[in-house]
Amino acid sequence: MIVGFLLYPLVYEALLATPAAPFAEAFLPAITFMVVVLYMGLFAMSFDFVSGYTGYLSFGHAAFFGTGAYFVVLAANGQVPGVPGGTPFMITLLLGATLAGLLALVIGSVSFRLTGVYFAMITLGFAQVIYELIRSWGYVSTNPTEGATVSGDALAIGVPYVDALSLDVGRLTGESVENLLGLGIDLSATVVSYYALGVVVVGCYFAMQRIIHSPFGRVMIAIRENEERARAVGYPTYRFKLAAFAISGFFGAIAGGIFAAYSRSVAPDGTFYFLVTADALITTIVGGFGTLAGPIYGTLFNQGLEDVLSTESGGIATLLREGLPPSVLEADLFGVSLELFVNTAVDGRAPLYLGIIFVLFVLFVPNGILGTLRDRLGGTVGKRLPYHLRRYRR
Amino acid sequence: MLLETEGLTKRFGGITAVDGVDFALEAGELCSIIGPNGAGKTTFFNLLTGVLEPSDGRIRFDPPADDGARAEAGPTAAGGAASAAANGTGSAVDITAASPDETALAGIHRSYQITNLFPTLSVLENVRVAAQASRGNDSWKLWRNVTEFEDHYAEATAILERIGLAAEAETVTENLSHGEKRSLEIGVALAGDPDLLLLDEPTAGVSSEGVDEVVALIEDVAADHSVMLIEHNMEVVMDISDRIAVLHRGELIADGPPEDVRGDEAVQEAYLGGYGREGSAGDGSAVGGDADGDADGDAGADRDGDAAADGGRRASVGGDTR
Repeated sequence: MIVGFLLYPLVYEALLATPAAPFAEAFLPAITFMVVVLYMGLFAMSFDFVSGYTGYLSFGHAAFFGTGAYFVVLAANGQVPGVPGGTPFMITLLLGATLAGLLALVIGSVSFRLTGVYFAMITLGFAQVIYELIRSWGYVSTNPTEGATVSGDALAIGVPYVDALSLDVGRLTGESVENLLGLGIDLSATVVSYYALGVVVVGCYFAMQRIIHSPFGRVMIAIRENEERARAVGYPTYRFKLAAFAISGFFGAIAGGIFAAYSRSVAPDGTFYFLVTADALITTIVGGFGTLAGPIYGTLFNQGLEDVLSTESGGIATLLREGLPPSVLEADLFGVSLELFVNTAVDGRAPLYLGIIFVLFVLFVPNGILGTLRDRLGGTVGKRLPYHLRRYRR
Repeated sequence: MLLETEGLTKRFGGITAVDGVDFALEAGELCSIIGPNGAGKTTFFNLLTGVLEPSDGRIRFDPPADDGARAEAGPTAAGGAASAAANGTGSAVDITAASPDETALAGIHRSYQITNLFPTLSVLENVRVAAQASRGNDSWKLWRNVTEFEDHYAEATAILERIGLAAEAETVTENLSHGEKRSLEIGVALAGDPDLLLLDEPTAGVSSEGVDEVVALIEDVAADHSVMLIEHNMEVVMDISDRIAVLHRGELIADGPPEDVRGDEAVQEAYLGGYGREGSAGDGSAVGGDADGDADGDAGADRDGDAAADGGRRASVGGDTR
C-alpha cells in the first residue's frame, strides 16, 4: 500500500509521456487529488480511530480538523499569543494538535455522559457552535467568513531549524527538487508536497495502529463490543473513552494542519463545517469501519471518482469531448445530443454518483472495501495474502 | 464477614424492589439466593456490583488481605474502595456508592442471567481483556503491543482450560453454543480474580444434560471462591449450597442451611409450593416460574406493586441469622 503511494507520482508522470496519456489523465487521479487523499485520509482515519473502535460516532470531528488548520495558519501569521511568528511549522503543528486534544477532553467530558445517537448529536452541536464562532471572530482575519491566509513564507515539513532536512510545501510556494539524488528525476512542487505530507500521514498511521494494538486499544474494542461488560470487569470506561477521543482529536488536528500548510488558506466552510465530518464518515464507511487503514482506501475511491468526473481538464468528460468524432457527439440520444448529455450527466457530477455508491455500499458492502477484503481473506491482508498467493502458484 | 449489607433498599418510583435487606456472607461460602420472579434477586446483585445505587442502606466488603497473587489496583484504579482493597489492610471498605468498575477492582465479579459477552471477539480475547482489567496500569500502556503481555494470555488460557473451552480459544464468541456461552460467562467473571463471585442464573436456558456440566463448574469454582448464586433449579440449589437466602417481594424472608429453608412455612408458601415437603417434587424442575424464558423477570419487580404493603413478614430460620 505504502509502496503504491510512493511510486504513484512517478508512474503517473511516466504515463503522461506515453501515447496513453489522455486515458491516464482521464482515469487516474492527478497528484493534486492524491494530496487531498492524504490529508482527508488521515482525517478519516482519526475519525475511524474513535468511532470505529469505541463505537462512539464523533459527528463533531470537523472541530479538531479546523482547530489544527486554524492554529497553524494563525501561528504562521504570528497571531497566536505566546507563539512567535517564525516558529517552525512542525512545532506549531504539534501545538495545534495538542490544543485539539485538550478541546477533545473538554467536549468529551460533557458528551461521554451520553451514548449512541445522543453522543453523535451533542458533538455535532459543539462543532457547529465553534463553526459559527470562527465565522464571526474578527481576530482571525478582516473577513472571518472567508477565513484566513498564510501571509509569510511557505511552511516546511521536516526537522525544525535544519533547512536541509525540511521541505516547503504548497502547490505554488512549495520547493521543487531537480535531479533527485543524481538519478535524473525532477519532482515538481506538488509532487514534493505529496511526499512530505505522505511522510506525516504514514507516521500518524503507524502511531494509531500501534495504539490500537496495545492493551489500551483492546479496551477500546471491548467498549465497542459491550460497554456494560467492560465496566463490570473493571474498566472505568469513561476515562478510556475520553483518552481515545483526545488521541483521535490530536490526529484529526494534524490532518487539518497539513491541509492548511498545503493550501495556505483556511475557510470555516472547509474546516469546521459539519460536511467535513460527513466526508470522513462517508469515506470511512466506504473504506471499512473499524479497520483504521480502510478510510484511506475509501478516500482514494472517492477522490478518484471525483477526479474522473471532474470539470477541470483531466476528467472523463474532457476525454469524451475531445476524443470522440463530432458526428458521434452530435448523435441524437433521446432527443438531446450526446455532448449535452455528457455535459449534464458526467461533467462534475461526482457528488451524485458518490451518493449512489454510498447507498449501495451501505446496503451491500456494509463492511467497506478493506473490511470485506479481510473477511474474504480470513485475516488482515498482510497476514493472509502470502497464503493465498501460494495457493494460486500451485 | 466478606460481605455485609445493612438495611439495603432500592426503590423504583413507588415500587420497592429490594426492601431493607440485612445480609452477610462469610468468606468461602456458597450461598444461593432464591425467590419467585420479581423478588428482587437480580436487583440485589445490581446493588452489590454498583450498577444501581441503593436508595437506602449500606454495603461493606472486606476482601482477604493476603491475596498477594493479585497485582491489581495500580494508581489508575478508581476510587477509595479499590485502593483500600489493594493496600491489603484487611479492613472493610464501604462500597455502597461505588461504580461497577470500582466494585470489580475491589474483587466482586459477576456473570449475567442474559449472556453478556464481547460477541465478535475470540473466546480467548474475552477472558484476556477481563484479566487485563485487574492488572492496573497495563491497560494504559499505549505504546506496547498487547502480545508482549504474556501473563495476560497465560491466565486467560488457564481459565479456558478450567471452564473446558480451551479447544475453542480462537472461536468467535457469538458462534459458540448457548451452553458454552454460559460457561464463558463464568470464565470472564473468573478472569478478574474475584474474592466474591456473583452468578446470576448460570444454568438459564441450558439443556438438562448441559446443566450437569455447569453445576460441576460452579462446584469447582466454589472450592476456591466465595460464591453467591441466583438459581431457579431447586435440585441444583439444594445440592450445592452451603446456605440459602430467600427473597420475596424484595424482602429476605429466610436465610439458613438448605434443610431448614426447605422446611420453612413462609418459604413454602411464597416460593417452593410444596417442593421437598412430601418428597413429591423431587424431579428437579424449576419452580417459581420459567427459569429461562422470563429473562427480565427480576429486574423491574413491577408485578409486585404492593411489596411495601406486605412488609413485616420475615421468618428467621435456623441459627444462622444475625
